[in-house]
Amino acid sequence: MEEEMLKELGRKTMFNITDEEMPALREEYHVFMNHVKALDAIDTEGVAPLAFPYEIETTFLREDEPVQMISREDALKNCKDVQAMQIKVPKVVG
Amino acid sequence: MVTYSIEELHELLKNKKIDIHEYYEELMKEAEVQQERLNAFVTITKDEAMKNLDEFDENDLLSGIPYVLKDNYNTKGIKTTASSRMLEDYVPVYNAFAVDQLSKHGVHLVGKASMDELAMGGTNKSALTGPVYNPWDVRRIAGGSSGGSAALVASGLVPFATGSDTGDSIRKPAGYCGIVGFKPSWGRISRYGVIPYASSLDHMGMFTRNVRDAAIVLEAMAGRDDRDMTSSFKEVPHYIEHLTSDIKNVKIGVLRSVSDEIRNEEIKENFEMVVNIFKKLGATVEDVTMDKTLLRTILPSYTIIANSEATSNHSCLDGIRYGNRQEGETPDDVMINSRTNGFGAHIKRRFILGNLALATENQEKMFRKAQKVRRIIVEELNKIYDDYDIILTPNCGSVAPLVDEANDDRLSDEYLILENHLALGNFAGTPSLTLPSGFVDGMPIAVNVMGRLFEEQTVLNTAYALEEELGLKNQFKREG
Amino acid sequence: MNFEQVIGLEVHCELKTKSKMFSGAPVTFGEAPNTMVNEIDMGMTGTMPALNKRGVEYALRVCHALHMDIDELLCFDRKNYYYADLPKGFQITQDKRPIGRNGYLMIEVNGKEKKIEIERLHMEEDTAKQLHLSKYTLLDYNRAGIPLIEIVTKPCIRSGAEAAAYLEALRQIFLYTEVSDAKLEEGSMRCDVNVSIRPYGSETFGTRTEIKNLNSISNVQKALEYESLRQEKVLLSGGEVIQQTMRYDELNKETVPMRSKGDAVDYKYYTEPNILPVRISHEWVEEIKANLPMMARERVKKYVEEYDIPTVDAKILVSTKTESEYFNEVIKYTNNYKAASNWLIGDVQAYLNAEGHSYDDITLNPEYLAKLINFIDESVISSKQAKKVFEIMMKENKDPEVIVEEKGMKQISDEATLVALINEVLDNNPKSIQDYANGKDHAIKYLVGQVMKATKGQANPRKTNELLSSMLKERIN
Repeated sequence: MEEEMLKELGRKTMFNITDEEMPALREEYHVFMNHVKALDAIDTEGVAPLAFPYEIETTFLREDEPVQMISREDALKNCKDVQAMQIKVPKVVG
Repeated sequence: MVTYSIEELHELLKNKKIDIHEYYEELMKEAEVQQERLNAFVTITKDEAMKNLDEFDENDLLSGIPYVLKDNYNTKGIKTTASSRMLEDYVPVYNAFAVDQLSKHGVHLVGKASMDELAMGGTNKSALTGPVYNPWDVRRIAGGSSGGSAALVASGLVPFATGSDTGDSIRKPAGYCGIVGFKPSWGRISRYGVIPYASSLDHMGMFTRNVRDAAIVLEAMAGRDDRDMTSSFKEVPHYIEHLTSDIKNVKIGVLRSVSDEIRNEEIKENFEMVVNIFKKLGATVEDVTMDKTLLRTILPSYTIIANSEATSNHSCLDGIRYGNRQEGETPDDVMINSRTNGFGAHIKRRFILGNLALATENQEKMFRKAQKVRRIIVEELNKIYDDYDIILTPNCGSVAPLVDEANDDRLSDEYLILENHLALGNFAGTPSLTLPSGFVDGMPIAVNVMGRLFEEQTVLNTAYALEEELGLKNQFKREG
Repeated sequence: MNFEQVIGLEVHCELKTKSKMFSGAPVTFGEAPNTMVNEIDMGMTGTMPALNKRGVEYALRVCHALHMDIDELLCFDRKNYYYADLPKGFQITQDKRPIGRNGYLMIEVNGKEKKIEIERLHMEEDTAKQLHLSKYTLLDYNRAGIPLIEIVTKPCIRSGAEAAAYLEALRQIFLYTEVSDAKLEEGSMRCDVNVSIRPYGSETFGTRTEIKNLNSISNVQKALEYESLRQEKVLLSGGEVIQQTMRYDELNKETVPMRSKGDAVDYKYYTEPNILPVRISHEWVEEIKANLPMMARERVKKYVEEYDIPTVDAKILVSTKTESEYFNEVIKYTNNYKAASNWLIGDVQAYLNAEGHSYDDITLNPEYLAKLINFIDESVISSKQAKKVFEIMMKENKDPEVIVEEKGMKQISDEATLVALINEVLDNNPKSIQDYANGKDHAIKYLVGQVMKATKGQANPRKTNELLSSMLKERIN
């Protein structure tokens, strides 16, 4: 059950998990779930999540100027499969 | 021997006491020697280091100074791997903001330093190129995740190196290696162009061998960057000019809830010695505490938040546009094969668990719960800052572990609180500096001073005063 | 059993800003692949987003045009999923706090007005463009990062015709606020629909299906009509509607399920940690509102009520903002609104059509058209002459006054001159006077012809007719 769940979760994170990797994953999963459980010790009723280190707002908005560009050569430089100056992938279906 | 601090080297270059070409020739030879011993480089950038040596500017303290970048700082045209197979051959087409900032001053890049894969670790054992060894004892780790940077500065090879710090990734290795490690406030140094770990916890910072150098490097790296919307508009102070060891007006809170957990008697003694020095220097020094139940949740909430943000941040590493592409029948297969092949086993585990915590059905009780606990922790910490300028803690409870014994996951109180409290500075985004405070068994130990948001100057001054008193500056260990 | 349709629409619109939503790369169309990008659009690791001011401004324009409540604190979230065309592995969007909420748009179907309630408008970014070839797919990142707004209605639409009317009205909003060229065929406006059916009077919702990637308004209508009939057949035959995503097969005119990977994707929305909440000033929000042009619907009302133009014509005039603006210019120089409307809908449109042009590229000075209208009204030239003047005027953008002068077209309408001329003609044609006296009406036509001949056609026909008949009567008596 747990292995199936973790395998599926792996798939959703775009990983294949081998049988050899499974014990370590299960172990870390248990540690992780203990962490989750540990948070029960803290009453967070009425507390808002903190998504940044401190509450801060900005008023900055970038001016709409097309000033930051890279060359096509650079854009494609690190890609392993380029055709007709585009990035090639197997056919997308569905 | 090339072991000078920034200011020393600057003086020597300015007064033409040394020839810059000879200096760099020797330095690059020494880099190879230290690489043999420490395994701290991913890439040695000799060509880059030797470039424009004649453009020394005697009015700039950083001009002509050699340095090392952690290998998650993107460098245009220079391989940047974050010590991951996924990026083994990746050559960025742009520079991180901090790299450009430093380059403006005419620094010379000696190499890219090893790190835990994608900065996710505290031992540097997960680096694609293998462990980094501690210059003080090569059987021991340098710490992580910025292990390569710490080891190279501690070997005396370069006077400074950059690092990044999500939980303690600058300060832990700095302590293990007997040097200064500083992570300023979240927003002080732009994160643009540094391969992230967890954006809401990630901080840029530096390693140096003394506090003055840290002030110099911080001033160069800091500043507003419009490409990082979280970077601060606050003016960057002239830290080095305002640096003073007079800390009579500084109020220091000694966080006993952390220091009480020290089990090693020598470290305990050393810490009390530091406390007494601060008293002697005329600072107000008082004991403060935080609820231990709360402190025990630092690691759990950190683990949940960091892994969740990491899995999302690294979703771009799919092998399609760059990185380690492995072929497949469909685009999904390409991504799965690339990621399965490109990441170390522990990275995969952490991404999977991060994904678990972010899943809509779990998010409220996992990720958002951790974010709520984070708020409570930060609020409690800030209550201390209502009365104190500085929070003083031991850096950790031991010297650098032996390579074979180092691991990340233990759940004792000593471990939970003492070994993870530095993440308080990441939770709250506050400036936090680690500096050497002595030796145990021939290995360096350290303390940490943490200040209020954007009060880097107070942190630097407090550390400077202690450094002056202890005389533990410009330490390095060189062999080979 | 009688069923009613329950339809909700999700519309995406690409904003024509100069740079992308979160990066400073240019927004352009039709450029060579992967030339309009930077490291952010390519999802290169370490990059961070910086929000485009004009992107926000354009979103605000549409919010105002749809009468929405504005959230002056801009908050962004990540929508996480893996897809070949998604560079970062997540899309930056506004999940929890959209910039606009609770708006509406009035539509008209079969002469009946209806208020379409709009739930939300939020800002996000576009993905890379995929070119599907027989064996593989090519990716172009020029489109990646282009600003998008998404507008979601409440499930308050009840027919394909209403959906079509809503889309047409919304498209007009995009065009009038000048935020997009809003072309469904080219993908700068995109529509997904949700449709379910339920027995009339029922308060609960039936199981809905989603139809994606509809590339014209008429296809939206057709797809909705087909899909609700399909659902009806399923229900009437005792079956159950399956919740699924479908597409519209244009060739066979039917909806077909899209291949799915089984589980629905969990987007794992959470706060984007690299964008601090952005506080926009109330003054700026109000300034954008104040500078908003009048929308098509209000213009129709004004044309009908203030200018007495028939509704049908008014709607044609506002079909594009440029035509409506042109009309507004013309009527600055003439009070004959009706004539102005007729010219624009009739001859001007026909001329532009023939030239393959539209009101976007009309060169004619609107004042000239007004002058032409006034010349006719003042009988300076005849309607017949006006057509000739119009041709020249359109071709050369020439002042009709100059044309009339050059061609010697000015009508003789001056009474004294005409009376003298008519007297001369009557003196020379006693037989015609006699004929007229004997009741031969065609005589008057002959006499008018004589006046025209004498003036080379420049005598004002109406005036000549009037004067001639009264002067004839005088002579007979």
